[in-house]
Amino acid sequence: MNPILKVSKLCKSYTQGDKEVRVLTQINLEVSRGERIAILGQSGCGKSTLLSLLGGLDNPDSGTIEVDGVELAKMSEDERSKNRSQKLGIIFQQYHLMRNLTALENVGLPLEILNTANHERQAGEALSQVGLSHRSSHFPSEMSGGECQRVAIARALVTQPSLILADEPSGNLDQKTGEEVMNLLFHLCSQHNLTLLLVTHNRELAHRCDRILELTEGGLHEQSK
Amino acid sequence: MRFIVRQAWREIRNSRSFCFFYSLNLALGLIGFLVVDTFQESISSKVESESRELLGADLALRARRPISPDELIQARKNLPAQTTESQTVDFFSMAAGPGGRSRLVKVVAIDQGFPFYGSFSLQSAGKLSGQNITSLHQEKVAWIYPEARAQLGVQVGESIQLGETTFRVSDLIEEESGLAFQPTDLAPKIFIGLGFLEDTKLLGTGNLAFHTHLFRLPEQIDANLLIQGLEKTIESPEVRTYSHQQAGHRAGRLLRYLSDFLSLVSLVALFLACLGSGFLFHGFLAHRLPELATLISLGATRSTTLRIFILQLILLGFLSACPAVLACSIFLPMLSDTISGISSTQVEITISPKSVLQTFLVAVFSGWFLALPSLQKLRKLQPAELFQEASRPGSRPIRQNLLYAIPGLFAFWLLCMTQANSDKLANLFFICFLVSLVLLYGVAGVGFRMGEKLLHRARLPLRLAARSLSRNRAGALTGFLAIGLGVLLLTLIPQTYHGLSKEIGIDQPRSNLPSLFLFDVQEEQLPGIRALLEQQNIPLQNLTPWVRGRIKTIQGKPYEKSLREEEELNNPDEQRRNAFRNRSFNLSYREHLLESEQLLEGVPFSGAYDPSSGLPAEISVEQKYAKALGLSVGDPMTIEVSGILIDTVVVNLRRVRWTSFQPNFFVQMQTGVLEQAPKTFLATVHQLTPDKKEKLQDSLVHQFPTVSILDVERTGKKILEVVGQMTWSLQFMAALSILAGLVILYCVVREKSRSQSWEMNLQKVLGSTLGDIRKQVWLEFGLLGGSAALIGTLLSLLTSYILSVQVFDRVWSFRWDLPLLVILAVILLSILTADFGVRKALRQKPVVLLREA
Repeated sequence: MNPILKVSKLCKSYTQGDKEVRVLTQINLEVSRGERIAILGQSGCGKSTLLSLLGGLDNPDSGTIEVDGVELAKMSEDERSKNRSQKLGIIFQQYHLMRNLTALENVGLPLEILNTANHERQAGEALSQVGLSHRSSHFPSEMSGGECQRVAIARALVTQPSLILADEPSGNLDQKTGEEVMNLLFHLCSQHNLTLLLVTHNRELAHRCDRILELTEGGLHEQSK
Repeated sequence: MRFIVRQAWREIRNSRSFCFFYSLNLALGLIGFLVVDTFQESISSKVESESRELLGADLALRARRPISPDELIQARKNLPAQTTESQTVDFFSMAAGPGGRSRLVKVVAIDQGFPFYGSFSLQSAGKLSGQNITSLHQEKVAWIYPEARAQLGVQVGESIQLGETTFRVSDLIEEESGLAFQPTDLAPKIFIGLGFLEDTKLLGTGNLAFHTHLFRLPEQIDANLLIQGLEKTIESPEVRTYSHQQAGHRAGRLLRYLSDFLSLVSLVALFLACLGSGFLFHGFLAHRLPELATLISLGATRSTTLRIFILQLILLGFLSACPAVLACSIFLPMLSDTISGISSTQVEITISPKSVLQTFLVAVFSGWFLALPSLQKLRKLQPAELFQEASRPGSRPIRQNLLYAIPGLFAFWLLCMTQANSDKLANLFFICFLVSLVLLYGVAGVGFRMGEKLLHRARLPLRLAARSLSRNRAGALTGFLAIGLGVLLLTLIPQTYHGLSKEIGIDQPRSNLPSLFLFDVQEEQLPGIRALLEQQNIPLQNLTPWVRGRIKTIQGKPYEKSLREEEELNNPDEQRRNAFRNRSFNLSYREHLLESEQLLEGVPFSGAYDPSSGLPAEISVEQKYAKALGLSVGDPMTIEVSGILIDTVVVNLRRVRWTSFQPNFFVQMQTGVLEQAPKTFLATVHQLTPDKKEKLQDSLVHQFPTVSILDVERTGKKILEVVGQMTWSLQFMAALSILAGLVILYCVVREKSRSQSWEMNLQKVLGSTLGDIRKQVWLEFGLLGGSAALIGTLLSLLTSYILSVQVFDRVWSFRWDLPLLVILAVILLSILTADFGVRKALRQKPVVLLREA
């Protein structure tokens, strides 16, 4: 079976003043459909850079990224946007919900971008899957952090993407709420056979995934569970 | 597309505060824009459509003397075969009613066929076109305006005396066409048949009368095409040619002077409004950037995101234009009354579809242009920053943002050029504005940096305030520019208006005005008039000789009629200048300046002329006249007076306040030169009671029928009424710009205090007391508002001075109270608004604010 995500020899560096900082060097990665991968690493090791490259939000210096058999580098920016809306679901540590939209509207937003008919019904279903049907008309400012992150999860899942990129989804939450949110995320990924790439500091959480990769010195190293 | 529309609407629905202030700002500016645009549009279309009726013909030749048969033969050679002709003579004279009451009237003697276009509306006879007018040419009858009936105490059927003959008043005029292109008349008109003019014996030597020959061209012939040929044929600069289109221009001239200033105010109001709206949008977009990055991360393309905001601006522009158009549709018709007081023609002010379309276009595109620098941020947005914990997408300043302001500035320049009647005014205003913008930017950049250095040892709140201004430079600079420009434009209008109002004489004590103005006084009549006045113990004042002269050479070159006249008439700056040219002129002589005159350049007269010196005679020239003729101090000029050539030299230029009602002239010569030249006299009589004035007028007319008397009090009152109506229009527009300025100020301070509330509350978490933070806020915004207002006011004074010197004929006077008031008000308003904006944030628990971050 073809991998859902294939990364080959990915390199990315930044310039800071006169100095060039090599963040990612020769990253190789293959993720199969339905697989759950955890990426561990210290602050500043390049986890966020890797996620933004995988999400097509930034361009690599060299190397290739294939999502569902399609190479990102060969796409225009607009095609990458379309690819993102169809095949990727992104969950941020800081939720990044639209403040002026209700929970239901936030969840339905990716469907609206895709011009999907019945987007409200589908958004309502996704919201009920994360247990927030009763909060559908509330704005983010009227919800707790845990609820906001559940809305963000529903938003990432509503288009039934091939790959979920999750950046520390529980990083902004207290332990109990964080556990609840992560349970929900793992449950939904299993239920819908979704592929998950989870960036986290939490080793315990990482052990719930199928594979653990550690990002150190610009390279990905497989860890035994 | 549906997503874009839905999302744009959601943005509007959920950002009510922003949308309200954005639309309010823009609507205020659009009202100003629409008022002036409609005003100009209405006048142009009225003047264009009725220009034939205004002139009463297609073409006319007009001179202050009879047009010679030779000149007429030459003129006819340029006209098509089927052209028909008529003529009129008009002049001011005294008329006496049956009871002996006499008043100044304007006598218009018309020939058969006049007017070719338009008609007379008479109270009894109804509407009569030129072909149907017979009674006036067959009998000694007169048609008079109702004002003349009241002033002369005459009824229809009774007779009035004009010079040495009488005319029976056969009808009253309600409306008339033809020759209505002259500015507002000082006296009511009386129409008689041209054939009976000679019987009055009013047109003796020295009496001034305009002779007009009117031509009706065959259909399909454009009068404008024939004008150049006519001008070339008739060489005498005294004979002026008019096409009906030019007559229309002249009729609108007074209104165009007013609209010059109004257009300046409208641009100010519009720009203030756009500035406010642009600033609001900038703040709004900066606030929304992280969410836009999220939208992109969800799969929306950048162009989709951009289109959401463009559509939002279109919708907001549309929503702003609707109330502006509605308000103008209701209130603008009221302006019609104002205009009819200023012009001799009745102008109906209605909003044209073109003005409405233009307003909607301005509303929509001004938003785009102002949003361009902000929308550029959207293009450079890095959604990848969403993964970075401490980063806020779009928060990094982008240096090349300023380049994106260029299309907006260019559009504003285009708007200045289309809105202002005068290119000069538009360009000057725009240049002053641009230079001020650059100066404000430079001063603020350097000032904030220096402020931080200078105040690094000051007390903590002041130190923090200075540091905040210097370190949050992008926000502080934007705020400084917006407040500075707002204040600049805000004080510019009242400052310029103050100068103009002083010139017009609104504040002039009316006791200085003479009661009666006597002109056309012959030299031999002087002893008799003096004796008559002495009997009644009334002094004759300001007795001034009036000599007609003709320019022969200027700077040694023969003075020829300008052939550029036709092209120049479309440009009001040139039109004004040109109005002085091609004419003989009035001159006088006296030893010193009057109080209504001000020496601008050069030296006073050296004394009486000494014929043995062999030097040219000294002349003093009025500055506008000098500019029109291209004269400077020291320039030689040869003047012909009654066939005698006089060599003169300009020794000074002076400004004349014409509304002073003192005898003033374009050219004054030193004494000792013109004493023997043929002349008439002007004189004034002051401080008469109404009774005394009536009696004096009656006895003067009885004994000296050729002397014209002007009741200056009545004329002054009429002029003051016009000034009052102009003032009303100006004040309305100035109030609009002030209102837009206040709204922008509120928006700027509110936006800036909101953007800094998080930092202020962080200080609270770190241990600063509420008092300390509040003091710092007051200092920061007080400094920002105060320094911006100070610089803005100084630049405004400079701009108003430049505009006054260049456009409004050096009419400038410093008004100290207004700048002071504006600076204090801005400081107070900045502090109050900042305090109000921060109060809400200070009331919240710090943990809430930290979580929001």
